[in-house]
Amino acid sequence: MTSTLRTTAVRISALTLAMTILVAVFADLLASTAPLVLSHRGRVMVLPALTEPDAVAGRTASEVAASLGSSDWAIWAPLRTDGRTLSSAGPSSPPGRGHPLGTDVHGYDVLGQCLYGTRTALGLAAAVLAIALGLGVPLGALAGSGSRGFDFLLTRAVELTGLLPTVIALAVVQAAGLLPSTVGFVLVLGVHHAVRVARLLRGESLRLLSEPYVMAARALGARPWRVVLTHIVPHALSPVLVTAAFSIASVVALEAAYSFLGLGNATGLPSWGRLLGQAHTGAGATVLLPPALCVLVTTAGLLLLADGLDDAGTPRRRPAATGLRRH
Amino acid sequence: MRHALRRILWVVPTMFAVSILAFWILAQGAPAQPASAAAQTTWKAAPDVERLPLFFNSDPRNVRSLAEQAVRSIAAGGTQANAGQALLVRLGGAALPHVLPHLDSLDPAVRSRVAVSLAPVGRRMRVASERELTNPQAAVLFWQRFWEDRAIDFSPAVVKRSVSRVARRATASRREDIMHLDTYALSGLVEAMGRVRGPLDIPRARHLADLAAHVSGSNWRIPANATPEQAQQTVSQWQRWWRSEGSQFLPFDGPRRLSAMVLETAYGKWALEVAQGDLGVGLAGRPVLDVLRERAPTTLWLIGSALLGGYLIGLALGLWQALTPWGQVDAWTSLLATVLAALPTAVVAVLLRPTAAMTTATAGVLTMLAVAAGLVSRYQRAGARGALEQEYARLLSAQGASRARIAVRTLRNSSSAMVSHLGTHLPGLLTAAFVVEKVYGMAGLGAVTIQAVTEGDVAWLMALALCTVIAAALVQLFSDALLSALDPRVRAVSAAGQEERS
Repeated sequence: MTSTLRTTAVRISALTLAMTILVAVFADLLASTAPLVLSHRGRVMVLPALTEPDAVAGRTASEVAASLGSSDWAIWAPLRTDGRTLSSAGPSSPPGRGHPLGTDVHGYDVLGQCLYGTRTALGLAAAVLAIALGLGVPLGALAGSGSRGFDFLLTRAVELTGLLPTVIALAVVQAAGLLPSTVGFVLVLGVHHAVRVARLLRGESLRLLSEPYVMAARALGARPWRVVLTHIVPHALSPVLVTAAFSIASVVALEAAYSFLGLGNATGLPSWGRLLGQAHTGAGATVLLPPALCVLVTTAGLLLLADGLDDAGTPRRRPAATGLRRH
Repeated sequence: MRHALRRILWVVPTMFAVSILAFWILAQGAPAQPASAAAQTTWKAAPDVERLPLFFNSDPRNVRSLAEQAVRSIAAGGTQANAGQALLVRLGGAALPHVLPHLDSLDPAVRSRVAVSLAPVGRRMRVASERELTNPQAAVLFWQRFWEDRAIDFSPAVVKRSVSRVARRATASRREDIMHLDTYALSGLVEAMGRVRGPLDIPRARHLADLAAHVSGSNWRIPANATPEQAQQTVSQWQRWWRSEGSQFLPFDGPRRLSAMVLETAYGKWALEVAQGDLGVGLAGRPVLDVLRERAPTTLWLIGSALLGGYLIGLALGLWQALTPWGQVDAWTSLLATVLAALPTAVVAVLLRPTAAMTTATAGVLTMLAVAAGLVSRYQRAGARGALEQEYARLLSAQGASRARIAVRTLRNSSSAMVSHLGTHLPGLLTAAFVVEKVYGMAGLGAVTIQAVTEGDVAWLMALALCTVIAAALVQLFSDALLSALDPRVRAVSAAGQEERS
């Protein structure tokens, strides 16, 4: 019974994550100042915010609604604001019509920011992950399969990223102000995670190199790159996937922390951390609780999923096989 | 042991790499430095650190090149001549060996202009009458004769002797000897100031500072009734100035030129100051070291409590979970641990705040404990579950050993995963500490750092990067030592690695 609880937890977390991703992708359909479908003077526009930005850009939902004639009609998104346009309800308004979760201390809708914050968080995580895998997998595979130079390079990179906290690295990059802050964030964290991935892959490659099937491939005269590409990398990927899940979790958490500190994105993207950052400007629970829950659900879901992937990768540790189960 | 030694040795190049990288990145941004840092040294003209090349100076600034430049500007005439004259006067006696011997080879008109430009130097040296200095023909004649008579005095040995004489007892004639050398004696003067340890050192420092102030035109003097602390403050001000500005009074030849190519750079000066324990002055005008001393304890206290308390709690929690797997305890505590690990630190801090009746320090420590314990217990649980699958652990449980006994017996194996995370955990804890400081308004490193980022305070960021690297290296060494004490295999592996390499 308890083992089903475990798998249930994994299933629930996978489901939550899928929903989070859907929200991130389709945030425009859930919250938008423009209608989803607009019929104006006999012309039907689908998603006018994307197809005809001139018609609705820069106007709040009520302005758009007021401009409609008697024969016009519109299908609206469930939430008629996007967290980026100032609400007419004013700052720190309680939950009410049009703003299910109220507005923050600056007067932006909380729910809208949470929805679009999902896109920010997952987008940043995806960018970091792309760098981490794109840089880390080749470097790790090269270091693990006998290239002394790459091995040395990796050892030093591990040393460097292990000793220099990402906060400090990020502070240095942001202080220089060369890059937009989001790019700096993605670069610093991407390199950091790339080193982690590379170290993991190096260990796995070293282990796999002594496996009989790899030795057989080499004995048969397969070229080194072929051995690495077809025999090592695919088999080393399952622990990398676990790390990737942990990485996304940590990026989501760090984005919140850095935005809270004011080191994160200053580009004006709605983010969970920016909402949380209002904690010390006297924001109430209605402002803080939603983003906190968003971070919690996403991060916890990823952690549980990573645990599940980890268990799936090591069959002996699957609950059914554990000798100590009946304790 | 040898493994640890190798780790320590590799920390040094890593520190260099970190500082060079950070320096380069910060220099690329080239944030506008407000004048406040340089306000106390406004009398020194323009030769600021920012204009130096970053890492390599192919043509280090020295008295020879500056003197030639000054003569060229005077020859060019116009407004340039005024700048050249100002430069020549600032260089003073140190420039004479590079100007006077070439006086004959100059165009007559230029020759007399240069000679007259030297008038303020001559007045400072108190070697000639006003007419000799300001009349063009007389000035040329005077300086030519001056060099014939005194060229022999402009040598390092004479400077050394005169300075040590004046440091012992500053009679009027000995002071005059120094004045005749003018800025040529500055290196000796600053060097002879040394440290002011007690009242006995004050007269020496006072006379030397007086002379240095006279020849360089500054006002960093030591009053007659100064305390040793005040005197030392002025002396270190002189020394810091000499470190950054001394190169313009020195010629670079041979090996000194080579070392100057590396040291006479923005990075070289910074590294030299750090090596002498001076982390520089922040934009707010306070020495970085003072700010660090004042604020680091708060942050260290938060991180230390997380490392000690958080790890102990996490260890106990993880063991408890692992020993009751798939039961109610495990389910609820692992849910709690996951929630703690997943909640943003800011939220944990805000949640803990309302439970009044405790100081912000206690609340901060509690937050850090919760954040660390949540993460650590997850590692420990995984480690313990792995250890419990080992044959010997299963044998123990088959024999009916109590849970506590199994926990103790497997502790060595089960905690190695947690210990190896100890070294890599510090960066995350630093972020958490910054967040906690911000929520509770504690005066730690976080606020200063964030301010430094917005203002582009290079000195502070470099110092912080260096300090955190050292701290992280210490924690990693500790975790390595602990790991090899726990696990004989680690010792065997590192010993084997040694042999393989050697």
